[in-house]
Amino acid sequence: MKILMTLLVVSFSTSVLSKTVTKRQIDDLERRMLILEQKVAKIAGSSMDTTTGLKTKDVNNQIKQAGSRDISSTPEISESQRVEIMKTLEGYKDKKAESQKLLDELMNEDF
Amino acid sequence: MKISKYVLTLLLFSTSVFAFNKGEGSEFVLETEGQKVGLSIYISEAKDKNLGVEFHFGAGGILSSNMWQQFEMNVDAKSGIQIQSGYIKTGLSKKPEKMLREHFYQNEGVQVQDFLFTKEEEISKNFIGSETVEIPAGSIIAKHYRKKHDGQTIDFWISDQVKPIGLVKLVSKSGTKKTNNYKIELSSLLKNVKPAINPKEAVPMTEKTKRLLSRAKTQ
Repeated sequence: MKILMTLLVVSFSTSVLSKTVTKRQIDDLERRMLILEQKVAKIAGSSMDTTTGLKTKDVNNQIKQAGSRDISSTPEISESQRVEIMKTLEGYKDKKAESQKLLDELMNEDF
Repeated sequence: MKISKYVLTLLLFSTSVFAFNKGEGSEFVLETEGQKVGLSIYISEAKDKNLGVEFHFGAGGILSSNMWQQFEMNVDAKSGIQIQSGYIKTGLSKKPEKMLREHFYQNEGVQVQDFLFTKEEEISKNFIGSETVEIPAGSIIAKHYRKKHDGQTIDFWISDQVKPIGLVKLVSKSGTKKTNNYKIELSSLLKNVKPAINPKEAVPMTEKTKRLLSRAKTQ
């Protein structure tokens, strides 16, 4: 009878202890996850609100914007912008041609 | 994209009893017809009974786009909430344009008047229960409400923890109109946002913007 009682007590204690350990592990994991989430949010330019636990962004008195084009998605540019883009493209073509010429010369020298 | 409809849908949350601080707001992810758009709502002005709310719609990536809308409202306990004026600005326009009154309210979708609750009992009849909601901003316990309007069911979750806007999540479903199927989820709270629109610089609405809004309305 004594043995049975001892076994029951040991069994109950082990069960309670394992639950406590599991809960402690979960709490620890949750704490570590929160720290990780805060780190990720910081990298992404936002922080975690300490009272709500929600992501918070400080825009730092800047205007909210996603990109450079408007919602109409119509590719409209001014004449001066168009000329500027064409100039850049021409410059890029020239540089590419020069590079190619240089590469060709190098190749010819080797052989 | 039915921009104005979304704008008006969300005005509710900006005109509730929460305290308003200029520059504070919320950033949401708006998902509709397979597209994701960033939506930010923030307080542009808060003086006595006058409230200014600005909305920014932005899509990133190669085809990035921006549009801002600002509404000036009069908040009064007796007469409720009334939109006084509205302005719109797109990424390429130098000056904001004054919106026409017909653009404040739409004939389909969620109507702004459905959400302009000035009394607690008006909204409480739609209460479903308190629930834990998982959103891109994190996890939060919010109050779940449901409204039905013309074949459209709108489930929304609000919490005063995400003030001043208060909206946590909104899901609209409709079996008849495809455009009335959309979802809005809080992705971040915002602080210190500078309004893109200065109403003093506003010019009359151009024909191009009128066409843009008409297109958004009919799409």
